[in-house]
Amino acid sequence: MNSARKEFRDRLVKMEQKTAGLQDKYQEEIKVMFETQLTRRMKWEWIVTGILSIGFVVLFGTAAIMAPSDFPVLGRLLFGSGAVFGLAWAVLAAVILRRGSVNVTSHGKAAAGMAWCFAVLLMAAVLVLASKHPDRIVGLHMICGVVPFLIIGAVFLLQYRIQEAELKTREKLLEIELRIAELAETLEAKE
Amino acid sequence: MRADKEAIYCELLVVRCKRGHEQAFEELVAHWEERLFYYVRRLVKTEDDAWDILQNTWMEAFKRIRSLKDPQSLPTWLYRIARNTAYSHLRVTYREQMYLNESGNASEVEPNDEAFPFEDAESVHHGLDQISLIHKEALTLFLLADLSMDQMAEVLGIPLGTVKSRLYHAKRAFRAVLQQEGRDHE
Repeated sequence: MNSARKEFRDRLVKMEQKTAGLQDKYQEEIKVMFETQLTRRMKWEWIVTGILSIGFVVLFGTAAIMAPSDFPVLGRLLFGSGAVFGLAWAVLAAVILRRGSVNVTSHGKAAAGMAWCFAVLLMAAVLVLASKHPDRIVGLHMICGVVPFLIIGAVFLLQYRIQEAELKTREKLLEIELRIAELAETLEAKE
Repeated sequence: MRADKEAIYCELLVVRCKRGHEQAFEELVAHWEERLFYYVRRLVKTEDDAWDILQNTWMEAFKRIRSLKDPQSLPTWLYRIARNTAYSHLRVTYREQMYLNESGNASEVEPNDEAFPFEDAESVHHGLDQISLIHKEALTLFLLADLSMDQMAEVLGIPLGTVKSRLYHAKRAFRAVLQQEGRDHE
């Protein structure tokens, strides 16, 4: 596109008459686009999530601390993880209820991450327990049941990491290209 | 901003959006909203509708931006979302009615930049509203100069030849409007 066409385009676009009130309303809507306001139902769902999460913290936290001294360390760790998981969800629920809205990007990412971590942790624990099961056949069945899910989880994580790395590299390259284009523009202007 | 620099900047914004940067999406909106609003405003009757459509366009874009495979195709992608949103608003029957009235031969005409009054933005702006929707849409996309002919064909969902034909007839209709207005003033 030559600069004359671009200048004409810019002048043409500026010709558009806009009503301030309507534009302001649009701007407000755009500002809150990433935020989904909590409906009555959603609010109750998050309250229930918060209560259940606190229940998790109390239940698993107590179990981890109060378990008898001869209780296996792995089991204690599992209880501890359950308590941490519950605490994380309780914090998320509290943040969302306090804001009165869900941020589609950050809260969504946090919830998905926590769910993924917990699922993988749980599966890993089952795997360890299965390997120590006195009945080897039952243990094998348990492992066979869990391994596919663990593989799917690992593949998902790997794909995500590769995609992130690709995007990050591309972002850096584009930043350099943009800088070069800016320098070229400055030099052209000086000549 | 120069065309190549703008293309790099937009690609960078898309990559950042795909990485989940909210601020990049806000920048993307700020960068494109005027042009998209101008386009959408030519398609619908009221300003209120145009703002609603633009807002829905951004919502759709936000939802789908992670699946945008080629960040360089951002302009085509955005205009297509805006167009689909606007036409959903206009309802299918109305659109079909407008397109049935289309005339022109796809193979014989070439749009000619020289013959267009590029110096007078005001008369172009007012003249655009005097021609049919189908011509107005093609001419607006041409004047906004974000898309190549091939990309325009993709946005409009028609063959390249039809785009050229439509532009040719749009310019002819536009010139007729300008001449008529000139006569009315005399």
